[in-house]
Amino acid sequence: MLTDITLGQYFPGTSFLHKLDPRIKIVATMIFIVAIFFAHSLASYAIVTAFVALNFAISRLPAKFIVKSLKPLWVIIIFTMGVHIFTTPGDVLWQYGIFHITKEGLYQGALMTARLVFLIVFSSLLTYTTSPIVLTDGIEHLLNPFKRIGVPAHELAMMMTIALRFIPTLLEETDRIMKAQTARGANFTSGSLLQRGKNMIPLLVPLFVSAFRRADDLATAMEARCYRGGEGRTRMNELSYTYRDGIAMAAVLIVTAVLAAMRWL
Amino acid sequence: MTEPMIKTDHLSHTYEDEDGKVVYALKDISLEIGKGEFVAIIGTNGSGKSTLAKHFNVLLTPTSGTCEVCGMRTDDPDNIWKIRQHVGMVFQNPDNQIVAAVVKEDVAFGPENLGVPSDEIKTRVSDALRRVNMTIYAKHGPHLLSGGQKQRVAIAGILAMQCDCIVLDEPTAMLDPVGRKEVMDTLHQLHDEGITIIIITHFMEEAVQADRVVVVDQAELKMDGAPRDVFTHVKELKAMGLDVPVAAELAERLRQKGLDLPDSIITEEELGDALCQLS
Repeated sequence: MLTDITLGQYFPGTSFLHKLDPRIKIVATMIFIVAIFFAHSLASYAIVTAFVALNFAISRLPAKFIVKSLKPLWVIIIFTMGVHIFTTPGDVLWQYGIFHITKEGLYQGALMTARLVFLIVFSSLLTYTTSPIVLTDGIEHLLNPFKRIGVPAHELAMMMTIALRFIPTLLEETDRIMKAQTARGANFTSGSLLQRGKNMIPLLVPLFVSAFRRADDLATAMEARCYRGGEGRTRMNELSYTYRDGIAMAAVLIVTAVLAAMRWL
Repeated sequence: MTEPMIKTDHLSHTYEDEDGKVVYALKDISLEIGKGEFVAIIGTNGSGKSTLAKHFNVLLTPTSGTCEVCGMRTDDPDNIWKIRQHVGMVFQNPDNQIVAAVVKEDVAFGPENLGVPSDEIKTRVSDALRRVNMTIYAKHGPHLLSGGQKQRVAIAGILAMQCDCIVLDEPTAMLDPVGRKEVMDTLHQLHDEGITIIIITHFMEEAVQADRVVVVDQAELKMDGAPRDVFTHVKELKAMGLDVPVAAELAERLRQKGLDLPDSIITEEELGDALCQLS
């Protein structure tokens, strides 16, 4: 795939979710994440489950991506479940010493776990279906109104773009320095943790030196190409809303309204 | 000579070294480069040739004397951005001048900075990529390209700003022979389209391809002329620590051995022809 920069978690595709405007995706994700916290009853959890599942289906991502998104956070998920199961007071089902499991605990634990899982899965949908570059663009546009109160929207976006651009370059460089230092007798693969940490110094020092040199070169090159900051700059790809964005936003708002109604009415 | 693109008048650039002593990076350079010329600047490391090139793009300004680009003086801060729209610069390290993570986005960087409307940027980008023969790589990440391709992307970035002069600071120093040829072929093609090319190089085979060769040594301008006039001064160039094209050197040595070869030989074809005509 030509556009696959193998960065972050982006999974290239052409689904409805992929085609949404990044601004809408970010805002809608944030709204729905808040909405997940409205859910308390089993019925409202059913609605949340259905909505997350529907979105996942629309995205046409392989199912293994659900597992992939949860993997880095399984410790937190288990911990949350444990805390709720063992600390909620109520009808004791099982007891051993100070540990006891209650009926309410199991119920609470299950709901809390479900809530966490939905939070993670839904927010990873955003990063799965949006390339980092487009995401950066979206963030810049969303932050634009806050420029007046001193949020450096353009600068943040530019820094992110450059960071994304140089990740592969610096990885390559790391690899090269590692090989060079290995050839000189450095050992990166064995020894105690402390020893290994120390052995990283001959890798990190040249890497930092070179990164600073690159930064200096890049700054000169950007200046030579008339870069003067965000003022008066245009973009090649202007973001624009389509009917899809309207549908997506409406769907999220309706679900949010229903969840809020179930909670408070 | 046609209308001057770049004109320096007694340009000097000095800096102070650690002991506070004034060092000349460039000394009293008066040079005029016309529109549409193809100029090679050669010199050893530290001769000041890169410093000179940086004056053409206002990355540096003269300590004394003047430098004018298209009639605009580089020491007037109001002119900086106008000059940079005329003179684009390509640097040695192909990696360190690409800003965006996708080729076409990078080519668009210059025009975006100039505030060009987005529709026009798109046409400029596709036009620039076509001219450097990189259209099929438009959506690639720069890390997937070879060195020669990266330099062509950098050139496309300048073309998209519609510069009429490209200054290249050792663009081929980090490239393999294939990449070097790609870059030189691109430059020749752009020169044919009327763009002024100023290339700083270590490779005499590249300097021979220019219309004009400028030799800088120890901060001073030493020679300036057609490649044929410059490279036949084999002894002087060698004394400065510079190479000469292999053909010129071989011809010189053959002359010393008593062969009757003309002084003007600088390319391999010419040497071959001259040798065949010996009786």
